[in-house]
Amino acid sequence: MTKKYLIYIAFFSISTVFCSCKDNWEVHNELKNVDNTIDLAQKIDSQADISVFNGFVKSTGYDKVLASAQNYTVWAPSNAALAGLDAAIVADPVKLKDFVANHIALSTYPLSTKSNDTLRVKLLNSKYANIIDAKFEESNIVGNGQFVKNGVLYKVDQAVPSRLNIWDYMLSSTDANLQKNYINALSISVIDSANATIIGYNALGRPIFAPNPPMVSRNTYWVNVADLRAEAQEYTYFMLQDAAFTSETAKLANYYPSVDPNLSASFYVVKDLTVKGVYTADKLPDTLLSVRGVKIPLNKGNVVKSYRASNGIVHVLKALPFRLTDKVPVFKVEGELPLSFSASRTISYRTKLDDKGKQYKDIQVYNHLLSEFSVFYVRANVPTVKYKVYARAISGALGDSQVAAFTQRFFFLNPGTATFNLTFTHLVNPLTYTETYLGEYTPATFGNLNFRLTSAATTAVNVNTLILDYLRFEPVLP
Amino acid sequence: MNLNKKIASLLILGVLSVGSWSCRKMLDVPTEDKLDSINGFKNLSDADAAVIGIYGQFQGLEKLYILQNELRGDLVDVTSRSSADLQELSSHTTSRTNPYVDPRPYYQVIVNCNDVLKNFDAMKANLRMSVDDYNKRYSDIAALRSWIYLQLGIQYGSIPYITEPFKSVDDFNNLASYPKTTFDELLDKLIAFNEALPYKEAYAYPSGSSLYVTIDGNSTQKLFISKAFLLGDLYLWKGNYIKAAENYAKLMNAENNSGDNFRFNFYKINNFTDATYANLAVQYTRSQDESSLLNSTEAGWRAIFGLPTTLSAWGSEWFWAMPFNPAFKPVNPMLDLCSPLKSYQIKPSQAIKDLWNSQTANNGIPYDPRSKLSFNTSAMGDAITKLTDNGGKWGIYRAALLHLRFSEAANRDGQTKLGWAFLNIGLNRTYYVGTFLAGAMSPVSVAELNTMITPYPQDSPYYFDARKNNDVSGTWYRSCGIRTRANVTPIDVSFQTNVVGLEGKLIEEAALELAFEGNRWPDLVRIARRQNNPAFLADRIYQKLLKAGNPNAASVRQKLMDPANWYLPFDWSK
Repeated sequence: MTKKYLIYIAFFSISTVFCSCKDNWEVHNELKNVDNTIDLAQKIDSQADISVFNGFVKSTGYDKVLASAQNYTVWAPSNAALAGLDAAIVADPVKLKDFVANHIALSTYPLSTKSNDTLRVKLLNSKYANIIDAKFEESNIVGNGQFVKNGVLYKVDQAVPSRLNIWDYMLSSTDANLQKNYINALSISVIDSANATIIGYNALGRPIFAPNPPMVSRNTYWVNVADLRAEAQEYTYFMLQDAAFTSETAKLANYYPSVDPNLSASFYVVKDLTVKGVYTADKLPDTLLSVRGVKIPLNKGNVVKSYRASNGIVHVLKALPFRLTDKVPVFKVEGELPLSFSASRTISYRTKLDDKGKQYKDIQVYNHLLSEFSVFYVRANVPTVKYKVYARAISGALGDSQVAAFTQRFFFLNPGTATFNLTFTHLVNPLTYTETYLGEYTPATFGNLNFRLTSAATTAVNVNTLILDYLRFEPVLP
Repeated sequence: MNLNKKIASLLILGVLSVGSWSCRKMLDVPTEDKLDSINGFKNLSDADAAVIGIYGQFQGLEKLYILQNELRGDLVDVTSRSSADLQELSSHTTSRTNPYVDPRPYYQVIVNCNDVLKNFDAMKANLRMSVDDYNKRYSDIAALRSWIYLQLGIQYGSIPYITEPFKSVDDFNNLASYPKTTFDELLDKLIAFNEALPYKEAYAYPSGSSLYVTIDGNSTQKLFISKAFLLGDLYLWKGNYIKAAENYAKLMNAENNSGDNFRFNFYKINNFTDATYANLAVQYTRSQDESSLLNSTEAGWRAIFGLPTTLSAWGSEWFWAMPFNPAFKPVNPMLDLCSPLKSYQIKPSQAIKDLWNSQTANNGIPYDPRSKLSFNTSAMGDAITKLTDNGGKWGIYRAALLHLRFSEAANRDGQTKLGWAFLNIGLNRTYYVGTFLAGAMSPVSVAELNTMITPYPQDSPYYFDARKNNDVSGTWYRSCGIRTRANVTPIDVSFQTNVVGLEGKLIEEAALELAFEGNRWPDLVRIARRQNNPAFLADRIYQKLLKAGNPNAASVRQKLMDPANWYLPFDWSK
């Protein structure tokens, strides 16, 4: 009997849930002012206080777009807001079209009810606008949205002309000519493979293009640092006035003496001028981290001018004194990240705890039965400066068969003679958790640092072992 | 024609006429697709079918067993997608309507066991089954029922202990009106009942029995409950440690008279690499290199859970496990509960992950490799794999559990060093006193060799022969201890004389080795009960909830400091 009652109760409660659900969802999704009889173009047409914008919409042909079946959101500036609009925009049909497109987005965006909720919306001219609370970029949204059958219309109290992105602004600016010209010169022309005609394939399977293929310009800065044209991203970018650029480049000239512009001292200056996110001049902290992970020391007093770009912000600085220790940093070559080996042997990539309980990884080659077995390492683009070199190698810990002291050697490559020369001899005493100072080393030229870790000239176990946690290179700076 | 004949013919006539007149009976032809209970037990095949049927129904208890024993414990936690009922179970705030506290599923199997046992009795009385066949089948189902009662006692405390079949459905519905037996009384009754069973050998059915076959790729040898294991558990709960040790030792030595491949490997916990008979140790193909951990469901420690039940290597570890087959019902419920790609109701707790990470492997790798072999980590979430490898099995009794329980009993019986040996480095390396050559035990005399035998009389459950030299290989020489098989460092030798300390370490090892297998909550209750120390249980649950960020952790701890709150409400009124 009780079961029967339970079933009735269950049915009753389920039906109640259904009823209440319906109500709640209606409340949640309810839109006021919906007029499903007209489209956006008609809605704009019917409003006297945005008639000027309506005129622009019609003259640029966007009235056809706004009458189509797709949904749009329009932020229409009032007539008063358009009174002061730059006459150059109105006069130029291309600029006017861009101006109108900068106020329209595909799809319907309701106003967020959450405070400080930021929405980054792609506009019809491919720029992005930030909508925070009731603000469309810097303009205020007046009143509620007016929903019609293909979207929503908001009225705003200011015109929002489209902005240049950081890249275009830099190229158009004359505030940092040396920096601009240097970066601009990093352009290379490549075949536009998407549009070129392929007439065959060579033996390697690569396409052969018809003579005089279409070419496109590519800038290595876009790849090696950041694509400052990307509208969807937001960056803070620093432009150095010529004096500052010159002095910063001169500071690095000795350390980065490359003739390749992509690796020159200038490159090592400009690679750390871009930061992720937007930091306005009044909110600049004293240090930021560049997209390449180097500290940028900032002083608000050095900001000469700022420009709010469509994808971030640009600050022109009269000085940006990088610290040499950040630009010519200490670096480590990890033992567990080798380049190659002199022979195929069992390699242990170990995970262990040091004496302080901290986890570390290293490499061990034990009982490999070879005399002078070598592990090769490389580090690219090493600045030319004298280094103090330290090694860390721990033997004899839990699970390690190597409990006796042994000697291993480091041979560094001389690129001039293409030979490896014995540079350091490293006596590894068991359970040495501290670094061992090996000596000084100065690379002959800028470029790759190649060295090999080589075992003793014997095939005896426990004597020809190799162990390396890391080599640490500490530049000796003035 | 004499009088007798007259009477006989009259009787026949009468019987016939009754038959022809009562139309109702004639039309009441028995249906052919339903089995009436009177006709269900005619011959041995029927009895076998009843045994298999009971186990089929019993297997459906896995979900309840794992969830009650692990989610209430501290090694398994809920996920963000867990149902409200499971979240309650995990945080010890179950309401009476929670389906996971309902004792009914247990009793549904018990009622059927009672019925089958009664029918077995009738078959024996009617000579439909031989006494030998009866002894094995009766003992099997009787032990299974006792195991379920032990579970009920652990989970609910006081429960009705019913051994007679019900006459009607109403009896089942009125079960709450039966007098309740306290947990302690229940243990006494179960011990007496199981000691009196007619068949108590190591395996339920010997080779040649109609219930020892290979079916659908699975051997049925270990499908059935291990009675000595159950008796050991009952004595361990009761506190009769020497009897517990005797029963456990019976299983540890169950294959001692078999050939070398069996006697050296079966139930010995070794790190021997023999692809056919052993190979269940944690292994690295390159020493000290964590990426070379052998992580396979076919070899190494994880194979304990992944190997098919027909292989000897699997058999060397297991006493009782019921495989699931994706082709048949019941479907392994853990596939759904553990996978982040499915409903994902349970996952490893932070507490067990921290415990694994606090261990050090013998090769210096700073965590217990069993963690990687027990669950998978992915961006979707941590998935327990132990219960689902190769389709999964419901594994209840295995050798590592046996060794830990034996050690627990031996430790309480005053043999702490023996318990330490089974936990850590095995027998001969613990007891050997003599010459070493290059780190290896190298006895130079018989006296030295004999130190590898544990110092007890031969008839003691603590006697183990672990001798090894070129001439002698004692049955236990390969036994290396649970921690050595898992390639983690032994605990300090000071625990060889610390009874309460070693007891804690044995339970900690059970967490590392047996996590998620359904032993945790009983382990915590048993030790907290024995030590009269509710904090032993409450602190661990507190740590789990604390590490999971549960704001009620402190109040749950307070609640569990009262042993009355360890038990689920026995509520039949739903």
